[in-house]
Amino acid sequence: MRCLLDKVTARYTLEGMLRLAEGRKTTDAEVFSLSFYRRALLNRIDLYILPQTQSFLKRLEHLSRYVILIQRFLTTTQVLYPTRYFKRWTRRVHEYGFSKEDSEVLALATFGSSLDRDFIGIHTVVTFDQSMINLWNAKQAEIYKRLMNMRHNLNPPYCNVSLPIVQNPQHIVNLKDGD
Amino acid sequence: MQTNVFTLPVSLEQVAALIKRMHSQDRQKLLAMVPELALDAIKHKDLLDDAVQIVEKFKQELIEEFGDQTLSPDEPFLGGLTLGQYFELAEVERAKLWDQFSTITISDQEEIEVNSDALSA
Repeated sequence: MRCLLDKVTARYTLEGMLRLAEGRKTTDAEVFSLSFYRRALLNRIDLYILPQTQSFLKRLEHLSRYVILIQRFLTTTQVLYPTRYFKRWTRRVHEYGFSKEDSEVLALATFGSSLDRDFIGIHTVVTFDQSMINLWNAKQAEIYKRLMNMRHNLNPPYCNVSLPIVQNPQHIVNLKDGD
Repeated sequence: MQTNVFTLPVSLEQVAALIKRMHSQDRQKLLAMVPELALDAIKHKDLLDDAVQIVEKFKQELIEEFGDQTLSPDEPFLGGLTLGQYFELAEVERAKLWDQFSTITISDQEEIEVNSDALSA
């Protein structure tokens, strides 16, 4: 199973780790993010982050006091990169009322891969953005139909892409390896 | 449920803002009318309690990794702020700071070709 942490979930995870390392009390959102992160690792779920999250963390790496945390996070996650057709699918997702940034995240979940290029698309987008989750669920049938139409015109392996589930980390209870 | 929500003329965020502004008595009345809210709150609390236990184990691991060199609020952090000052910022300010320091976006990236036998989700 492959999960993409959106930038807010990634931030809450990092902020939670910083607060724990400082002995500070964590917020509920950080607790849910950290718990999801920890459960995912224990269940050998592949975690992915956005290129902008990696870019941010690279900017912090020169601060030696945070290296342990940043390295821990970066070695347990991989960056998801856009594949061919990402931009085309982003434009289509955008038409359903998502912001430009949300459209990119959702499109990346379908047309995204790691630098190994051995898979296309992830299974779950992990986000605290309830508006995005609601809109995604509400428009699911229409978006699915649109993707099916687009798939007809694509060659393998792009014709096998699918839509992700979009969920709040606190509601992702069943994590299983091997999907 | 989610589909029904979208038939409402207001967003969930507007409903939430309205509930936050209510007097306690009115909230009690609302709770009596929608007892499912209390059940959801209990479920949320249970989930949070489970998550706290998992995080507690994680905390022990981190403390072991840091040894006696745990972080202090005076550590330099982002944009000239110390770690303590960073955490005093409002949520929206912290989000802005992350955006400022993330120099790239997804659309800046070149589209890559995947292997012909790439696995789909």
